Amino acid sequence: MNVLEVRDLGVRFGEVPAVRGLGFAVAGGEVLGVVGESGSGKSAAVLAVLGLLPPKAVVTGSVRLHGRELVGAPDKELTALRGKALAMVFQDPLAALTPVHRVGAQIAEAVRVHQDLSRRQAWARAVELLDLVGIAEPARAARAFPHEFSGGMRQRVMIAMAVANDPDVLICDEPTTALDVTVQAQVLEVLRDARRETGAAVVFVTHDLGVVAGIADRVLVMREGRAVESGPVEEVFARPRMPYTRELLAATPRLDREAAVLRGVPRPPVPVLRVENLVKEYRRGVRVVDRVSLDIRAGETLGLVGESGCGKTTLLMEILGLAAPRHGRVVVFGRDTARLGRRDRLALRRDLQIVFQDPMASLDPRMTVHDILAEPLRMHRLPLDRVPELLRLVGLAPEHAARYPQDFSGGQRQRIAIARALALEPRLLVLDEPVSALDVRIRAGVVELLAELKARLGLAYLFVAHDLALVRRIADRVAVMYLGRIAEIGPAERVFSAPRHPYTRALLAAVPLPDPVAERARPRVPLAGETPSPAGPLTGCRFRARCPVYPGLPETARSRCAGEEPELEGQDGAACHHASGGAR
Amino acid sequence: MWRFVIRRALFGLLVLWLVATTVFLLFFAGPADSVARRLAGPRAPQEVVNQIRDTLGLDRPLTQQYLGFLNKLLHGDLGTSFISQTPVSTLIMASLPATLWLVAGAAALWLTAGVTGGVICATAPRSLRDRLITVTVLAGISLPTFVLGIFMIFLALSVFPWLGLAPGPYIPPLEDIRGFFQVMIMPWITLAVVQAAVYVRLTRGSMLDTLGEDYIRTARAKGAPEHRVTYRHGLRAALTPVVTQFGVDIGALLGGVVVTESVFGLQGLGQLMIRSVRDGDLPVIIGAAVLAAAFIVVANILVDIAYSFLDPRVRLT
Amino acid sequence: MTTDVTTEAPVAAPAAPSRRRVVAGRFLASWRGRAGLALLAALFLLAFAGPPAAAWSFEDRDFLAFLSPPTAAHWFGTTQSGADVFVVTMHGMRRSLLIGLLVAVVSTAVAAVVGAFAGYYLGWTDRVLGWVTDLLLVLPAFLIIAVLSPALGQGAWLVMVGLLAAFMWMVTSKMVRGLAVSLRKREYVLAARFMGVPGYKIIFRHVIPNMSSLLIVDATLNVSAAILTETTLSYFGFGVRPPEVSLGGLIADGAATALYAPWTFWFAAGLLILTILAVNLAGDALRDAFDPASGGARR
Repeated sequence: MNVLEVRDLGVRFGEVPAVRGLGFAVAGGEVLGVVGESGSGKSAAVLAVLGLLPPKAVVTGSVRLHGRELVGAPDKELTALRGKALAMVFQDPLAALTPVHRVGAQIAEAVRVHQDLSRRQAWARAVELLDLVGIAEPARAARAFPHEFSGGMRQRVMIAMAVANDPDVLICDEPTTALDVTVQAQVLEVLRDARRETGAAVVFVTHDLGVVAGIADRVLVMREGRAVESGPVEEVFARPRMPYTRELLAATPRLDREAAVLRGVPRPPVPVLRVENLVKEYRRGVRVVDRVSLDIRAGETLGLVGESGCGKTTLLMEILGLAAPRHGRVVVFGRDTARLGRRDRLALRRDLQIVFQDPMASLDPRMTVHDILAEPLRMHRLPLDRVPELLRLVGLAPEHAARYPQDFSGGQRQRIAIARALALEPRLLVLDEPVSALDVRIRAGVVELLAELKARLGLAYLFVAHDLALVRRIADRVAVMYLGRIAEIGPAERVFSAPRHPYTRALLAAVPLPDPVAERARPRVPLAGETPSPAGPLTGCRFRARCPVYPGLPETARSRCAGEEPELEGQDGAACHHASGGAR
Repeated sequence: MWRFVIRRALFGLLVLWLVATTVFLLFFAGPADSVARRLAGPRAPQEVVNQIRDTLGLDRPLTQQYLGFLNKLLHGDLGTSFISQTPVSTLIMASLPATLWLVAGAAALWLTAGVTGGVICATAPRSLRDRLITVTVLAGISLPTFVLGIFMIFLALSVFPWLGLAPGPYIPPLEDIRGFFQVMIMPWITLAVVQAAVYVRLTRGSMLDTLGEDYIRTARAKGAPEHRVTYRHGLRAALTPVVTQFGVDIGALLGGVVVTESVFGLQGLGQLMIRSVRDGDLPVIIGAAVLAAAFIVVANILVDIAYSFLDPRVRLT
Repeated sequence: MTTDVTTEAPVAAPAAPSRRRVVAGRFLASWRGRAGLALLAALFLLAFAGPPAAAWSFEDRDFLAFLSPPTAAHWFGTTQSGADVFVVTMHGMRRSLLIGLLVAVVSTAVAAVVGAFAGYYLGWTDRVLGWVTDLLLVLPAFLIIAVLSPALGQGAWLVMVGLLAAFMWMVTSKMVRGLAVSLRKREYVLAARFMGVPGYKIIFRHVIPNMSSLLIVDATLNVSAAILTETTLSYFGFGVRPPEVSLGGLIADGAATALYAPWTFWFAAGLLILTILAVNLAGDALRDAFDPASGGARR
């Protein structure tokens, strides 16, 4: 029995159509995954269902909830339905929760608006709901403010608010996109529970094919406001009919596919970068990077993975700063950073460059592309005629040099950023999540480019990413960071196929596969808890609070984990007292 | 939080000391004769200049004068007015109530009008009422206070004489409540008009920003009725910059609502300051300057504290 | 897969209009922008082309017409000493406009530099600059300028400009500092740092230009604030002093005779209001032209 029926839905912002002729239906207890890249109109469509679009949007077509027409319904009717029959979970929980009201009050408000309960009763219900979504110490948590919570906890709060009144339809708009992969796995579990408890029809909007494969029963693929393909999830993934769907699937890297990386090739002897026991401390002894050691050889790609708070960005900034670290050593191209004079540092910068994550923010909007590329050349007194050549190198036309960054798409901007990084002919390129802000098809293009450049120019890459499947594809070696330390490091193939550290194993298990059959067949044991703050006192192994292996250990083994901090031995292994060669 | 208050209070004292020192240097730096001449005025006869020089001890080395000055300041002795021979503190105390009442009354008016107007505009952007209010506000901001004041007096005397409003010195409310209002209404309105215009814009802008945030959408998605969304979520979060601005304004105004007081002859602190500058009445100037600075420092501390209550994300450091 | 340049939509074929043109277009499209600009142009024209067109000069005294109402000979009437009100008012307006413009430009420039350096470097630079800013904010500006003005002597209106600017830059610099703090973490700033570009160059090349819309709007609105402050000071006799005239002084003189010789007061007052209104209109429209999404917060 279809709870929600959408027919010929159209959304227009002024002259621009965001959604055209969209139709779908969802039955109770069913999950419909809506997939599309940015600009596909998927968010506009679901906001239209709830009537939450800004007043200047024009909505046409039909949306029926239990047969009742919602488009054009008076606002009073819609307000009565929202939060009760129709509930929504948004993407960015920090922005989506009112910062000045306590979390419990916001959930209680959702309850009191639709049910006739006293303040105290509503508060009690709020605490109950917080417990339901898996928040520890719910009574205390209810009194906290949104900014005191982590991303995963905030999203649980949003889910609690959404299910407070037992909705018939639950719409989720990219609810896990902003979360770490292990936290995503937890929140997806919570959503599955919520669906089970309420029996609601769920519409799950996302751009991540792996997530859809895991959670959806049926899939709807959208492109530029239209539906491209729809059907049961196994069908669409295994036998996509439309070329666009096929492109999307082809462009999505899979964690379970081996990369075509040569095995057994000896590493070149010369390290371009060596980090020894690097420590970066903020005030009051908070160690964001705590004795990290790694090295990169000429022409190698080291993938640095880790979730938020692990310190990978801080590590990058420390390396790039070329300043003497508080503890430890950084040796770049054979030069110790602690002993650099100003001129040496300037000269070294030619060999070490960076490409950032956000293509919007990495190019100065006030400068032309020519000036952006010329800036490093001018700084180091190199001839400016290299600019057209650089643009060609990254697949752009030299005539584009007179334009401004906002005239280009995200992928093109990232190419310009790469061109800028190559201007000084570096030997080591640091890439901080260079493709995570791009659509999946564009991503593939930029990754291709990077592989090409690496082969052609003999570059070494320090590649930071949270997309493990991508890292498996392109990295020679992988280092996994957790809470300021390296948990595991080694050749990429070894780490991915035979991870030794329990965290690596959990991380790999949490990455959803874009293959419904395989994904559903996997055992689901999400890693518990969240990454603790580095400010807390840390004795012994800092992973033991969440370690799935720890509770099963005998007493003596456990005390070793509690008292003695595990160290990495060499450049291939795990920092764990009980590392095993166990497969996932 | 107390650590914060203490730290800021100490900093405030430092600032007050700097203010006093600056004022001191402005007047007393220089050879004794030129200072005396400056204080006496260009037309005073030489005997007066000499008298001033001797009374103030301008022949002493500068550091000695400065220390003496500080010493007296610390004892609360702001000196005695040259002109009226009354202690400065008395003069200040006498003129304080007028200023306090003026600012308090006007503040009540402009806050209500300003915030209400801002909310009305923000909840219906680009509508007719928004445009009308915006234009009115623009006119209001462009009105210099003294022009408005003179215009009001003109209206009161020529067009509405039967209201009995007239400019004049402050009358304490306990003495004559009717006279109090008759004297204060025009200054209140004059001061409030320009300020209200500023606050309408401030509230409107802040609310527009807030209403565009994601959490407003969440509140609507919960099914909260529109007025709850606007006030409990929108206005509540938008108030912070308004409160901050209010605190700063109060502090600044208490230290010198010069124009309004002068135009209406209210004999408040501001008018005292102007007179003392005109007359070269140094002790009063110094006293008024330090007091004005003190008001601003205290107001800033209060604003920071209020801010931390309004916005739980802010931690007092 | 081949490079994505071919699969991505090509860059818009006709060159996208430059930012300057877009902003100018939006500014002129709003009635406030047009009105403000027109009014300002008219006022400037009046102030600078008016006196040469009039039959009287600034120093002339018409001994046959003391305190006479507007006539064909004296467009705005005469003062008690026989001076032509029109010419005198125009001179006053000229002075006020000039002072306002200069003060706004200087104070915004100082605010931009101080705020940007404080926000970019943080640490001790920020702390010291912060103390200076806070101290100046607390000093009673009106009082100090009033006290110092007799010492200025005649014709020292440039010093007056300096004084006014010295007390006006602080609020803007706090705003600039806030923006600089967020910009310093922006990726294009980091990229420049890691290229080896020194800090001060980054500030002038990347940080300040990216605040230009804020600074322009702020400068425009500061013009009206400066004119207002100067006029208020002059009204009390502390600002521009004779033989120089400013609108404030004229208003002060006219206030005494306003009831029976309204032309001595209302022309000056009216022109003052129009000037400030024009600047505010233009400033408002400019702010919306730069950032149509903003509802106009801050002030």
